[in-house]
Amino acid sequence: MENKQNAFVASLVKTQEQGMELMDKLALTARPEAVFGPPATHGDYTVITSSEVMSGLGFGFGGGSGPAGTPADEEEQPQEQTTPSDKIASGTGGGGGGYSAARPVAVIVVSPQGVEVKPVFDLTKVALAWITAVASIFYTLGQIRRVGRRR
Amino acid sequence: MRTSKFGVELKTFSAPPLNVAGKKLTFQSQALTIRLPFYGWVWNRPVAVLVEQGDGSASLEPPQRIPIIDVTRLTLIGIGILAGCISIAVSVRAARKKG
Repeated sequence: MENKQNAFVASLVKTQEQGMELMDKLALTARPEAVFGPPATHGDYTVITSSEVMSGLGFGFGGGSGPAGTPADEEEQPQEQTTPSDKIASGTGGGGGGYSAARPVAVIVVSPQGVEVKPVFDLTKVALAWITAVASIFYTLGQIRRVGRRR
Repeated sequence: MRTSKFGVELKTFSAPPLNVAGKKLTFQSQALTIRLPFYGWVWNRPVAVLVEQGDGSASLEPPQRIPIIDVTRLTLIGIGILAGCISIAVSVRAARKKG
């Protein structure tokens, strides 16, 4: 019984260690190499991309143990005398999820004229934000008018 | 091997210098890291490029720092502030009309 409990605790510790290792790998996203791309050279010009990187990770695990139930076959033909406390069943489980997103911010151009940083403008994102902002203003206006009519 | 502690950390990193077309480029990034026992989040953004002429050893001039500006983010913040101001102005105007 003690062996089973030890194995159960060991599996829990192992699951936790695996989760923490995964968390350490997340730290690799914080390096500058994750943000700046490799240089691409064509003639006298070299281009290096730079992006904003965002990533998240979450995980959880759990386990439990308790007295094992008696299967139907064993009830019919008991092979050895055991008390319920002799048999312990245990189980562990875990799960996790994560995401990662990157968005280009600027392009660094190295040419004979010098080094230039050319920003990347995400028109789609800005347009979506603008539409949302205008919609929220009209919603606020609508709510104010509705409250005014009630009074 | 565990490398960092739990908590919130904002740190600026410099990449190893890169020699391109006779110039020594050093890229800088800033990372915001949140580490909790069962959760981790990293936001890493480019900050600047340091440019040194030649291999950087013979030059006495300080490196030129070219900032990397996130135009999209600035625009989004601007839109957010503008929308907030308009909403507040409309609310105040409506309140004054009633009063």
